[in-house]
Amino acid sequence: MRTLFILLFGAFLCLPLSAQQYAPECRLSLTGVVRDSGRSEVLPYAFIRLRHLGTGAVVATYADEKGRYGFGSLCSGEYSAECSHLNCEMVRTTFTLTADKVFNFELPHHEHTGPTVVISEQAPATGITQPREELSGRTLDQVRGKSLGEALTAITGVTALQTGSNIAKPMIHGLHSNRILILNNGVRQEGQQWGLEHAPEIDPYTAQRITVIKGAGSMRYGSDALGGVVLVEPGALRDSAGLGGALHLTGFSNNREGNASLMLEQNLARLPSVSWRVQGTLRRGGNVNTPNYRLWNSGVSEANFSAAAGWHRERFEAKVYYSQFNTKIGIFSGSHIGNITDLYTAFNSVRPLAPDSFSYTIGRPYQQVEHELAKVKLHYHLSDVWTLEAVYARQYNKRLEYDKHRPRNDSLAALNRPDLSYEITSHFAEVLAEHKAVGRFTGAFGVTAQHQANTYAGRFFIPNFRNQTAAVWATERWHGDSLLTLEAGVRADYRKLEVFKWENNVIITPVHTFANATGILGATFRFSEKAMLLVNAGTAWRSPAVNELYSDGLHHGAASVEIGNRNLTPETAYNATAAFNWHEHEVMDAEVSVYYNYIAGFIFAQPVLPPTVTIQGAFPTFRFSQAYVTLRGIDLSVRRTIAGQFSATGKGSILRAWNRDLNDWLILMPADRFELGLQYDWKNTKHIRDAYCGAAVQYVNKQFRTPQNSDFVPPPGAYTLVRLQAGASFVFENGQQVNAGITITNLLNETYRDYLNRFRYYADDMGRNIRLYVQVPFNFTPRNKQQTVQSIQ
Amino acid sequence: MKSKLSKFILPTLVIAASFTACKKDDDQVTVPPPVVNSVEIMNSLQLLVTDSVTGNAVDTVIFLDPDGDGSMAPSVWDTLRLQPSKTYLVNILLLNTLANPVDTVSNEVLAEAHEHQFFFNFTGAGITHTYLDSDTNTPPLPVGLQNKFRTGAAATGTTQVILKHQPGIKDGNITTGDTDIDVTFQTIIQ
Repeated sequence: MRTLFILLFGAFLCLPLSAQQYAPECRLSLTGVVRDSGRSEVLPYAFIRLRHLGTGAVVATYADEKGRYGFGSLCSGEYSAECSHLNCEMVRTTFTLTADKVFNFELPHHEHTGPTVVISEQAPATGITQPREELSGRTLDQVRGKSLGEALTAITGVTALQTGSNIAKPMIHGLHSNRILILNNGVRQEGQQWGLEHAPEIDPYTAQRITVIKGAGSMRYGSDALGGVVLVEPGALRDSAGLGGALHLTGFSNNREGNASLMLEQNLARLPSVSWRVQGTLRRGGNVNTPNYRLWNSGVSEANFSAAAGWHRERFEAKVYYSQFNTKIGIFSGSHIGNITDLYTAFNSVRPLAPDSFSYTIGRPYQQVEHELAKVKLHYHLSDVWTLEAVYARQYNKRLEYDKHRPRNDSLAALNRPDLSYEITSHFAEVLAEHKAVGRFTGAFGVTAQHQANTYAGRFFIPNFRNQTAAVWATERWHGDSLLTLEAGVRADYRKLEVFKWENNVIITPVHTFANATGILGATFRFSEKAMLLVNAGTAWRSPAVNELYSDGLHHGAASVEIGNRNLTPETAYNATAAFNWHEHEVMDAEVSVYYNYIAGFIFAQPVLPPTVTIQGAFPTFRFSQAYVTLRGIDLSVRRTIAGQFSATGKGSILRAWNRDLNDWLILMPADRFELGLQYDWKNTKHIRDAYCGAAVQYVNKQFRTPQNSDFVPPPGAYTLVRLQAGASFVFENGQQVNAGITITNLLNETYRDYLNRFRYYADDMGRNIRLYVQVPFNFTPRNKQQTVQSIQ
Repeated sequence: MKSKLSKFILPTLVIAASFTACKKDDDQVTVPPPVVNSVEIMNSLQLLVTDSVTGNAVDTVIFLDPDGDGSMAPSVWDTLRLQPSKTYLVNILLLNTLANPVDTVSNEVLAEAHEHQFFFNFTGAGITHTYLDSDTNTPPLPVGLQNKFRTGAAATGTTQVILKHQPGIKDGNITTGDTDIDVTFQTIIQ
């Protein structure tokens, strides 16, 4: 391990360094302290970046543990400054420097807003000792308009399990569905996530930041995150008076898709304790084009909205949030087959038998999904140290799936009923207490409860059930001298699952109860401002999902019969990760993480003989069973300035997933993948900022490591995709800003199929796609009311 | 003006949110709908075999899968027994015995004959097949609910019955469309 680090960093040290050079007459200094505007506490390790508006030169530094920062050797002139901190909203200001200055930044603290608590130092809801990566700012802009599952593939170690290009489920280190947790605005997403063709019902336009925490060990949100946690976080509500918002427009050439998302928010000048926000998204796309043909009936349409409001007093804060997600997704008609002979016919034909033309029309087969989230959150500061929080959330998910053909019976056909229909309602409640430094300790503890009811109509696949869970958890963190932080957490879970199912003309009502305890231990070592080591060991625990226990029947999407197993016991993961971060601003960002995930009782669909004979022919049959498995891997991402304005990026992830009981590989695991990129960043001018252009080449190897007798056809071959992207912020004379970008994926229009896409049996993957993105933020704040930062004169 | 508007918008939003959220509750959990799903399922294929000369019923050869596309094995799976060098009329009956009353799916296939076709594959046993019915396409294409089987010498083999659903694309070709039925009967000619 250590040798690997040394080799790795040795290699990068050999690259030429580009140090910032300053003219000798530049001798001015800027110093000061960074504070929390709410409580006037100092904020350690805030990041401050200065930009000389004349020359475009950029310098940056971190504040020290007492919040102090300093710049020397500054030239005179006009500067823009940005100050940011994990817990806080970034503040921007401009000033003119003619002599040495002292300036103290005051950052509005986010801490009261739900999502950010998750990553703040004060709230140990998820471990700080686990590797994490986020999409925000430019990286989020580059994937705006894509579905959540697709967008997350920009993160190293995250892949997408796809059913065509419109249904993408995130997969972290080879684990997906019920083995990862998705938190939408702080609430765990509850839908029919067991299905491989059931994508998360979340509008990524609601997010200002999307974070992935890799590995087991979420104490607060649930112990079942064996693979990791995805946090979809909206920005904090506006806290300075005025009306603002943003308009996002995105277009894709391949399927002639257009998206529009509008957000409006306001903090009332006369009632400064009240803020609100509304947001809505419309999305429409047509048939997807592969390099050789179009996929009939692969369109998508989506309409989402959300509304949030917050009110606060000195010690008390209340927030309400509601969001609704509605989608209709066409399923490429060539992928809906009757039996295995049809599958082989489709696989062996050069092009699908379905029509090859463009249309926005979505016909059968299709999915129609609605998801609602309503949330109330109360927050009370008991003292300077202690805070209490209570959350109630209700989710309602309705999933309708329509088969390719209407019933032959005309009167049934006229009803146009879905062939599969599920409704699930979840109530979630949480109370937690959080404390800031008591001696060297910070921590939190809480209790959560959830009640869930699932009903179905149409074809049977999973039974009705009622699911109740309760948990208590606690985490504490010990802050040593700046070098070392330790954390530990424990959680106990109880789950009661009541099933209601017809069997031999009688309703049976089996009850399953499960209980378990999990924990996490971790440490961070900050060797210097640049280097940090994270080590973490955690356990996670997941009781069998209802489909694993009770599904019984033909999975039309997969041309296989799945049989549940009522004797399944919970699976337990023992996960260890070590990550090394190197952050040297404007020079190098690097992270390498290795993980080892040992799962006892891993639940998987094991092929069994004989195949199931139905009137449609014989189908391969899988029965859920359990085994000891290991998932080991390494993720690497490096970004380094190579010369002048050029920077290079490299990414790679490798995973080995092994079934120790069967001495065989695990099915549906991501193949090794690597990416190399080169980017050029222009220096800022008065009117154009953050302009860049870049190219990246991604190589995905063939998945050679698949289990025997578990798939219809061998995995598809390796492929290489080229991507181009460029973007900039344009600033007009009146201060109005417009951000725009272009991305071209699969530039060479490569014909390929991906192992993790179920459509690999039926059709090629998407061809070249040009994406155009425009974002227009707007703000109607009267100038004299700007509160956050005053300019220095 | 602006703040008046905001004061109006805010409570409206809160109220709207709390109302739409209460759409449906979980009273129905304890009463799952019966497993039977009459939408598309058929679970029994019957070959009604008559002697072409006498017109007498010879045999009814049945395939019956008691749980439709569930994982249970077929409960009845007869062998097709014919005499050598004879001509039989073979009509097909499709049923959904899971519906109450039993649904005769072959009537629906007949009503949509222009987008369905049966195909027959024989191995081992020498049987010559002729379609006796046709649909409303121009030119008419065979359907296969009514057929003539001409047997050869004594032998054993298999008879595979395939029903293809070819909505709007019916072309008499076995590789076109989706497979609705694929059942193979043991066949003995003696």
